[in-house]
Amino acid sequence: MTFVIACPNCGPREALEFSFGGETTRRAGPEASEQELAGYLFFRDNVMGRQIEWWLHRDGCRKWFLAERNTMTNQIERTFWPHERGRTA
Amino acid sequence: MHPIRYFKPWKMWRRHDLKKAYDVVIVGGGAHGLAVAYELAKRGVRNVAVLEKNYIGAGGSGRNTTIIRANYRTPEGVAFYKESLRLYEHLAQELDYNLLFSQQGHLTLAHAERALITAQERAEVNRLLGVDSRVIYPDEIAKLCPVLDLSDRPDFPIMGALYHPPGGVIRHDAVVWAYARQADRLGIEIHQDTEVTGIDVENGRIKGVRTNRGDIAAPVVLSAVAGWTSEIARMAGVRVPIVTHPLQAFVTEPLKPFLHVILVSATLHIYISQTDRGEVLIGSEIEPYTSYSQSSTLNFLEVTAHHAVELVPILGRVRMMRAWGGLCDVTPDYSPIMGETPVEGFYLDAGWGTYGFKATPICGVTMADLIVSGQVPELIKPFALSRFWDRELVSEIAAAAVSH
Amino acid sequence: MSARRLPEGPDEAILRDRPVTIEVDSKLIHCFEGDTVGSAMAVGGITITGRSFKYHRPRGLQCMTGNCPNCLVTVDGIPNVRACTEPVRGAMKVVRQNAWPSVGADIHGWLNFWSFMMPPGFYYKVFHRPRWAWHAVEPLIRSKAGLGFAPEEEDHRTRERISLHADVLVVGGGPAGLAAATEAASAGANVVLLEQRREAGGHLLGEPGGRVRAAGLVSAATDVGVKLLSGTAAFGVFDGPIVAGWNPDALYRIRARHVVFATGAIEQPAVFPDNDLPGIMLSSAVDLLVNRFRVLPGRKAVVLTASDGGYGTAESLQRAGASVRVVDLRGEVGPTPTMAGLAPVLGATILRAHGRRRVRAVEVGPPGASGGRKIPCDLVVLAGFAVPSTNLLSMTGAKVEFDDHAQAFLPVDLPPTVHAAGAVAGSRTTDGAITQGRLAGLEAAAAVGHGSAAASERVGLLRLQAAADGDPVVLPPETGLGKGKQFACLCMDVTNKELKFAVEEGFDSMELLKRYTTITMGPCQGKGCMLASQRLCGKATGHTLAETRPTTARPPWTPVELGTLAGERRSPRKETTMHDVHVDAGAEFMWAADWRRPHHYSTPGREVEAVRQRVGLIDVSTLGKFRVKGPQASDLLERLYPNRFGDMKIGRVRYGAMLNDEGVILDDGTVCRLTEDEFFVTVTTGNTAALERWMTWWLADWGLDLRVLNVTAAYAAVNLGGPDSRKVMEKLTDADVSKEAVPYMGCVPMDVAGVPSLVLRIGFVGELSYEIHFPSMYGEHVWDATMEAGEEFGIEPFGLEAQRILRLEKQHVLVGQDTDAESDPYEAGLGWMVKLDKPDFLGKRALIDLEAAGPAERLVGWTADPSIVPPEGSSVVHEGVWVGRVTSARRSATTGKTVGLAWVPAGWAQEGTHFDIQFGTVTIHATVALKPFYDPEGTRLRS
Repeated sequence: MTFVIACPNCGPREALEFSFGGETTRRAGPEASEQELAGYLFFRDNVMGRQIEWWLHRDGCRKWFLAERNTMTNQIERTFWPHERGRTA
Repeated sequence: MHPIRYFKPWKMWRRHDLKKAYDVVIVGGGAHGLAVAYELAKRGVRNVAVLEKNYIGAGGSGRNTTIIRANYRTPEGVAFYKESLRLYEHLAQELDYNLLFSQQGHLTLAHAERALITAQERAEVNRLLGVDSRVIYPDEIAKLCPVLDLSDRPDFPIMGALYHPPGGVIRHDAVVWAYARQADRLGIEIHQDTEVTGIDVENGRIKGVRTNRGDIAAPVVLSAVAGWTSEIARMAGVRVPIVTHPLQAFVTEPLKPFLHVILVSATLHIYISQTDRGEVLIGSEIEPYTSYSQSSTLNFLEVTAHHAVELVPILGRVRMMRAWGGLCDVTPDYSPIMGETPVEGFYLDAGWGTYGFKATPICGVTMADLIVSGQVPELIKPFALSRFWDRELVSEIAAAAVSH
Repeated sequence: MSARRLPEGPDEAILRDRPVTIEVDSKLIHCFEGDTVGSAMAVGGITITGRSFKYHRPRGLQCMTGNCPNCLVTVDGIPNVRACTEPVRGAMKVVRQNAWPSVGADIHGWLNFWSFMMPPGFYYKVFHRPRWAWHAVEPLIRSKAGLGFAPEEEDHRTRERISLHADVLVVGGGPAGLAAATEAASAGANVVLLEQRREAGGHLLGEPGGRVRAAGLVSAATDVGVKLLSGTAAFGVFDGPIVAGWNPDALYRIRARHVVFATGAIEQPAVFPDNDLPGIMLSSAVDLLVNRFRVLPGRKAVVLTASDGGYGTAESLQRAGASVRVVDLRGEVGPTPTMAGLAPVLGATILRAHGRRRVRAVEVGPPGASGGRKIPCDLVVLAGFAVPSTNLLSMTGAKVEFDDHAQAFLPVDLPPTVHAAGAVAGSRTTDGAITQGRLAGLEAAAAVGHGSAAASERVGLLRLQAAADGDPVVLPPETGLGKGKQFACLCMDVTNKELKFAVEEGFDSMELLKRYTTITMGPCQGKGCMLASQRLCGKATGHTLAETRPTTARPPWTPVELGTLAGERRSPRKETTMHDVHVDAGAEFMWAADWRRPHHYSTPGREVEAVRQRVGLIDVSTLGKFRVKGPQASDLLERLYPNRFGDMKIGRVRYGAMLNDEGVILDDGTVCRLTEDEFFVTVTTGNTAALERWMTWWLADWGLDLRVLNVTAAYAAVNLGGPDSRKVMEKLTDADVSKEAVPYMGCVPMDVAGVPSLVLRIGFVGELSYEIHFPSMYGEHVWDATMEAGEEFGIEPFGLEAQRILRLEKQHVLVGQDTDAESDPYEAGLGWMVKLDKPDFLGKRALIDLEAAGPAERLVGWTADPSIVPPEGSSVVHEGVWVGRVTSARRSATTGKTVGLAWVPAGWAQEGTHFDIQFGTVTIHATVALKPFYDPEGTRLRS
């Protein structure tokens, strides 16, 4: 885990400083069907390729952000704040 | 004994042209896929192709740390792995191949009170189900493994251990080759360098698969591809509750045998055994992020070496010689997914996390029974894909989270 | 004795005025500082440096560069040390390996004669029928494994972990690497150079006149500021990219903007019968022995070569007094070789070797001939068959392609920040390597911003010169002639016949062959056998070398000591600001997550009694503490917890458990409302970090307007509990601490012992009690003041064990011990806090289903006879079947019973249900008790 992640707040740092939060999901709210609930809780795309995922800069600014990473090479393509989701995704 | 038959080469398996159609296509030429193929052939289903994109045993089967044990936590898990262990104990005779199974005993070290409670719980569940395991304390641990640091000097002194005498290590590649050989002898076709590029489904039924060597029609397709299940299932239009995590291990230069028991520490996230070549084999837990990269990481080597030296201090001057990574399909409840899917004729043998190799023989038997009879065997009912819709999870997190 | 020290020479690197004596298997050898154990053994006439892995064949020095497995020895108890590169030290004790009773008379030598019984993989085919046979044979087979013995002593060496950043990293300190580093540093780049040997210079170190030339290149590099790390081997390239290097004192993690790989090439042995006999060496070894260490490894030498390079070694030998015959694979040669009367045998190869304990003669003839001329000799030199060391380059993602001219796989498609120079890139002359090195250095420097017009011009010139150099490579035949063993792999004793046998069995690719025959899997990791195995695999499968790709390159390129990788790490060990007073009070400590906490001071029983009867004090500073502050603070808590917080009054405390969206309990703790917009939240010690991640994650996802601040370290806390605790509080503060002013589940800011504090009235221990939170720096002061104030009431400090008994008597659940990764609040008896009528909260959707289905299991309290306490983890059984488990159990002196918590089938959750608990062979009878065992109505804690 020596690849580098550019924290949107602190700049490029070793991945060791970060905690992984998994691929982004769409939360199933109280009105969701059983299918939607199970889909949200357990089922993941788990793509071979580019994935949007959560990271926390645990040993830095302690902020959560999103990253687009190639899961075959661990290359981080870009990072951005959650509020930038709509604009950049 | 057959005193002279090994002077001549044994033809283990052959290469074939790909046919246009098979009764069953098995995707993945690892131990599981080949075991299912062999068991199918034994049941008279012989028009079967095993498709392997690389060489047989290239994936998890050849990359795991070869530990066989049955001391799981849930009754469902224990019953399943107990049967697998029993089959393993007779597998060399069944397949006529010495798998170098060394039942030297398995110690799960507890360095914290919580870990000791979990050990006690596993011992009790195991005992009730007829699996030999018990909690032992430092004086007895010292006799089994004098090289362990049992003093109070380490950061996390050892308080006790779950001792599982029938646990052992086996030669993983030999299991793959032995199944392949017997499957080949019974008429199964093993196709190496054959990559599945697509799966054809029509009206909810499987039609066949496409490969880099041509298309194949088949009414039954089994996915047995640890690590890549999400991708294969996606080809069939099936979503799976799986994420892929890398898992790493390394071996040291060979030493004369000095470690006669398998060591596992959940606190230090590490397991250590000595192979039949004398190498010390050291593995760790899965990486904390998902990835399809099988490269070793420096951090893994550093942390794992640190923990290995903390447990067994004489390893400090021993050299790491070879390191590798593999891919694990991890499910939310650390239990496998076996059986039918919403696509008729498409079966899964997946979600094996870090414990798939231990289950090889029983997977062969139960998946072949399912494919031949259409009935889900009792032993694998708890592991149906549908449990994630029905919320009947089988949590093996405590026994499997640190893999071995 | 064939080997002896030569007179002083211009290239020697031994200090003749500093004699050293070492002991090799109880034989004393007198040598000099500058010698290696390997050269010392040669001086001492030791030709057998060890016995081989499988057949216990005698083996001698082969490479002198630390690559081959032949000279692995045990030095001062450390196994598998490469003698050829290990410097001698006074009083060193060296033991040769893999032989008993001695290397000279190894009893297992018989294995060699019975080797026809051991085709590859023979062990897979025997001993497994009948089943008992394997159990009988296995210990014997296992005992044959391994090379050296495991060290008996642990390692006490201090090891550093060093991170370096550089503009340009050069890997390899041969001519190409030194030239690259010098150019890059001259251009202004910050340059680090890694060289695995103790002295930079690469192959020059063995050449006549080479040492001076190498020293010149080294000083040119260091003069321009190159940071040269010699004796430090690069062993891997990892994601990042990071290049990792090591020596016995330090682990280097080097991040560079550009990396030049000048990793050279490794000489390869030729394959012919008995090609492993001691006395058969690579030219690198002979060059070093003769020129650098001044030892003559043989008096009658045969040199096999296919290039002019081999003649240099032949000349060195001749000059040192040996008689030399050169065998040249080429049919015709240029003028150089004929100098000095080295009339070569042309168009010939070595067909086989003769000898038992060392080489006595070779048979020489044209490749493929059925017989040849026998030439007596005691030294055979294999010169000039080298394979580029592309492994580290491959780890960067570079590919390799077969090059006909070089007869080797050369690197192609280098990543943009990676360069290759010298022999690894196909160069075969020193001048060519230097040219390539300069070019790579200039290009790398320019790429990191140190370019210039002059430099660009030079790049252009160098490009013209840097085309591949040297004549086309000729490789010796794949195999020799006749019956003897022809080794492809010396580490694992794999022969050409065995490879052919394995291919016939179906192991017809390099990866399968590797796993079946174990070729390339030994200590050399393919350094000395990859080429031979590729060629033999190709031959057996009808493929060319170009079609037979090497196996995947993985770290480590060089074996690394675990101690170096491990470094001087310790696990985090946190102590509260009251730690010293606990030590002074005689506390026994235990781990609680990464904290050290008192387990007990006197005895747990006495401490429990003090709390129940009088008053006790415990340090709870390790609790996770958060301030949740902002206009939407209550909105966040409403969404994070299943219970209600929006309606909570200022100055109140509420117990709550956080759930995930599966409805599983993550943690429990208290929430205090300090103001309209500010809450103080506590969580379990071990979950603090996870809960911080959890809360801030949702905060980020929802984008609410507030802050979650982890103030765990900022505040210390103590819990003062027991019927007399109010009396103690009254002495500590001027504030009103009456039942009315500080009611149960109330929180009030006040000064305690003069320190501004937040006082919570909560009752984990089941008595009137005050949890006092205050700035950490006052830890000892508040503790001491409280103990002093409580003295007259008989106050006792209590530890975690007493607290556990106290909480268990009240049936308070410990999340993580009594619950697991599947426990929901309905099962755990916390259903009362779930408010499904709230619009949404984490876990709500799942809880709707769970409530409708009803729990299948329940966590219940139970009591049993006080004579026995079942271990936590015991089974709950019904008719011999496991139906549940005991999660907590303690003897309760207060109630005179054994009490505990257990998971049981939901139907059993009725007051008074009897059930059985089993552990080992013991069964005890227990009775369900749904209410707290102590003070079931809670009157004491409300008092």
